[in-house]
Amino acid sequence: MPSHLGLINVDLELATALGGASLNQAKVNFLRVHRRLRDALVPVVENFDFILIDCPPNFNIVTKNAIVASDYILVPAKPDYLSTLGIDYLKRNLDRLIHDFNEYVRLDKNDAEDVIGPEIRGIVFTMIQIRNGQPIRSQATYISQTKRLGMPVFDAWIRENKTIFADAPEYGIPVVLKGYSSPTYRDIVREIEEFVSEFEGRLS
Amino acid sequence: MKTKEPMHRSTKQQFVSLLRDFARQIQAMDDAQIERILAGELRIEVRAPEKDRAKAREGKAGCSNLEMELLRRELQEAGSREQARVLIDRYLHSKADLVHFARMLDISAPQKSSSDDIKTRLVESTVGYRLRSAAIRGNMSAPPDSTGSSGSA
Repeated sequence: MPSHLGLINVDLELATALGGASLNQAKVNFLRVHRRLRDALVPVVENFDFILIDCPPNFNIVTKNAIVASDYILVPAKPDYLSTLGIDYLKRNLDRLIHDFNEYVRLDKNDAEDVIGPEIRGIVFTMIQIRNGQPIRSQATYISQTKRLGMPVFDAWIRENKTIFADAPEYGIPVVLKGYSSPTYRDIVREIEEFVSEFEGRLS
Repeated sequence: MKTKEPMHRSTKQQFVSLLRDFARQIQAMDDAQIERILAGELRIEVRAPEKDRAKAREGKAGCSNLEMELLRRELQEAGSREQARVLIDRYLHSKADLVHFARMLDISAPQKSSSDDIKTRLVESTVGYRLRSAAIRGNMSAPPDSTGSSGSA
């Protein structure tokens, strides 16, 4: 399901529903706002093997809604200084969100079964620049650093390729179905397939 | 022009052998080839085979692989940047050692970098990165590195 320009102000609109006259009311509103997507998915969730929710690179109410609705979190990141810092900020904010949400849920005995616990299933490094079939050393540095921290990092990665990825949204179909004939395209498809296999393996 | 013998002997002997081989190659050339070299149309290149160059690089590093592995483990346990710097100074005494260790950890260490820059990079990429991550997550009692593996994704 694609996004829509009508959702451009959705974060602001959701924010207006937060707060309340009392602390208790504020907590109730917090839960109501943050589980809107979760509640909306309940009737259809059985129809799908996987539901992938693509989030913006921030931690606003829309992103929090997606996290509350999810069982697992996949973190795409560039292997560079700022992006790897972002992984730590994400982890911190994620722990905080889960803590707050579950604390508020437990206040209401009727909702006690609604505690959440989405796990980071892995970090997939993207926009990789390749040399001799491997990420260039300046990127490999950040990949290795993140692994050494004990973060779950996918062995597979997604490479940078402006030619193939730049206009992909224009066609509205996944890159793997585009059917280019170049060797680079075949490498990219193979790498994406490797990632998908690893992703499925980690979920099972 | 490449030497065929593996370079197991001393550097002096290797160099003598290289020059002998070089002389033999010149001897085998005909006049036309010599003239083309003098005219700048052909070029003579003297270089050790790749395997020998790798050995030579390894030979330059004074710190053994075992010591580097030991240093890697000690850096995993180091609690501060200062401690990491002391460890690096203790084990790695030459630029060749620093570059070799950086490669072992997948850390970028360009040839043009000074030894001091490489040391700073090593500290920041190991202990510094771990401490920064712990500070951001609000967990300053950071656990030591959990994997220590140096492979890239």
